[in-house]
Amino acid sequence: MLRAGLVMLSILAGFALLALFLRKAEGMVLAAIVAGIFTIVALPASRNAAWRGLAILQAHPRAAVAACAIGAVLLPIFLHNDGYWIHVLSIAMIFAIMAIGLNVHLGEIGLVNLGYAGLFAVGAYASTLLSQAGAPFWLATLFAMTVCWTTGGLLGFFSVRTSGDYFALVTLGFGLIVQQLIINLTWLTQGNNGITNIPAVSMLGHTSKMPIDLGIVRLVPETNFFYLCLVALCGSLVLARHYQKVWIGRMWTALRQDAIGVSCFGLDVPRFKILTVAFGSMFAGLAGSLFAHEIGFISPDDFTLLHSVEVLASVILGGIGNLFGVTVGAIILSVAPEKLRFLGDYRLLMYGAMLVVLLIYRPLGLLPDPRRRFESF
Amino acid sequence: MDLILQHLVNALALSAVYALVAIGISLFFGVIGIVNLAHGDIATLGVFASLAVFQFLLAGGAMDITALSAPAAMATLAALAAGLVVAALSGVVFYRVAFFPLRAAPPIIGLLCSVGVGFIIRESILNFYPNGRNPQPFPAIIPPDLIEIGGVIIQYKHIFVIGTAVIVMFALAYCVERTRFGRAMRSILNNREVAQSLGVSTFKVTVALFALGSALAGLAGLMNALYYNLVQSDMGTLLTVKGFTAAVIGGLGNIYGALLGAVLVGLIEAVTAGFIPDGSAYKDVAVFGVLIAILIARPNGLLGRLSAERV
Repeated sequence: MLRAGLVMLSILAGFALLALFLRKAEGMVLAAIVAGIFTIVALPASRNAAWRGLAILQAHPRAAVAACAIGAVLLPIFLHNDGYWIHVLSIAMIFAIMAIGLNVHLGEIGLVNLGYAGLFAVGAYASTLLSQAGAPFWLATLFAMTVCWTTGGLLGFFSVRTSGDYFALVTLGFGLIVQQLIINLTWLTQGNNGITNIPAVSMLGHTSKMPIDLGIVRLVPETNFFYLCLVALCGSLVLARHYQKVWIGRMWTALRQDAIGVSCFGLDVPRFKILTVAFGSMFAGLAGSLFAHEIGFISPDDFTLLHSVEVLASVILGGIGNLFGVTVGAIILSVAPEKLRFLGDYRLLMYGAMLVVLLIYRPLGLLPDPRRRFESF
Repeated sequence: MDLILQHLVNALALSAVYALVAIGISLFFGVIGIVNLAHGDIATLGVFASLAVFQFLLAGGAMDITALSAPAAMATLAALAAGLVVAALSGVVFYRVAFFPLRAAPPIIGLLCSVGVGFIIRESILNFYPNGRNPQPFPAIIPPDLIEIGGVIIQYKHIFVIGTAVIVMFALAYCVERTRFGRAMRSILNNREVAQSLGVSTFKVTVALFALGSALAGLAGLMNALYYNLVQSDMGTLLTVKGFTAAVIGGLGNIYGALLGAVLVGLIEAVTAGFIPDGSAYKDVAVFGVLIAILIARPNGLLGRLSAERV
């Protein structure tokens, strides 16, 4: 009991420190902190300390999850109501939802998807078009998720016969095709100009442009989307975790290990793979809808190959298959460019260098899925 | 008819460039099992090395590079050679630093690592090359003359690009089929463990292959630069995507497949741009549409081996 309390307290302190780090750390201090974290992560000798900490968390999963939830809810207050960082974290959570979806493709059945931003685009445009036609946000989101589910299913239908690297190419092509279609089908998508004036989300008379008045504090309007994204992220995590636990998850593991084996036990492998790809794509619809309404403006530049790679990188850096790791990876990778702004023009260069160094030292990601130590790729 | 032939010539010039990139991607995949998404960026590096030599030699403005004189020829050769050597060296360094430590990790990690390397190369050129943010003119070495055969206009640069590619292809085919290195490489492609147990040094062969493949990519980049006379830091992305497509259409791990795939990609692009109204905007859609169709019919590419373990 005492230990669980300590776990909760330390996680809450972690959230407060995170907020402090986001708001205050700049320049050389930031570089020192990043270098320190890098050393901890990269050096095998110091792994033990970090691992022991994680092991204590794993021993009290409920306390840890509860503390994470409380910490996330309190984060806007920890951030001193700073609209900019609340906005950045909302976007980070949207990327985390995408990473959870891509993890279904990459982590669960080992299909490399290089066109996830294409699915994200499909979701964003579907939701925007319906929303502009006057539909409420929840309906537009459901529609976007359905469209993405169908698109993912079609993508799977055309490509599950090809596996591994061929699937990578088909999805790479899909991402590029979607982008070209968005640019060229100007009557639908307004091409390179993008769609502006995406309506604000409103629920029970409260729109996302209004501040949240709690009596004691008055939270900035950005907080609306922060909580909306938080709810969506938690929903995605619960759904993905549930699928991992039930028979579908066991099938995923079995399929990764031995596809011929599971097909001998009566699993219709192509159909199962198509449905899995469709399931993973659905998250892109949710993320796309949130993204479009959060930013209020979408254009083809938001859905490039670079964005696909970014999602892929968050899954791999976080630890393939580990939902917690994937979420953390996505949040780190979307916050890092904001914090690296002091590097100016060298930002993307450092980003690439970080990626390479981390991959060489930790090829299985920051928080590898413990179950996978016993699997062979 | 003339129009068709004209498009054919343009398509072949494109195909020649794609083929040289595709062969590298295809062979790297065959030998180390990793799709190298930085291959085009290695080509860019070679091109910029070459450009630097050109800019250094022509700095005074005294030399006319297009003139048929000994110094001009020497300068051209030096610049082109610099491009190839830098590309080959960077390929080897890249393998040793980024791919070799990951040889036990799943292939997707290598793929992502190559994406990171691509970032590093592109951003380094952008930041450290003088005026690297803007497209730079590449010296027009090939005279802009053209010959007309029965209504089809063939520029000298068409002849140069296609001719170079054909010569290189024959040399490469000889190298793969007849030399000791080629035999060693094919044995690794066929069965890595058996090749190792029979005394083939996989490390040496892979390093040599990276040098060769990256030099070919550098050549492709140079041909691209000489064809358009314009280079920029992100030209490699296009080369990678098209080369990768060609390699997959033909079947990864097979150089003749890569060649066939490159010809197909070039043809589809030229045909879409030439014959479909408003088609140039949709040429990539057409290429990837055909790609998906081919992969449905033949999941391992046109000339790929049908392997039992891929389900």
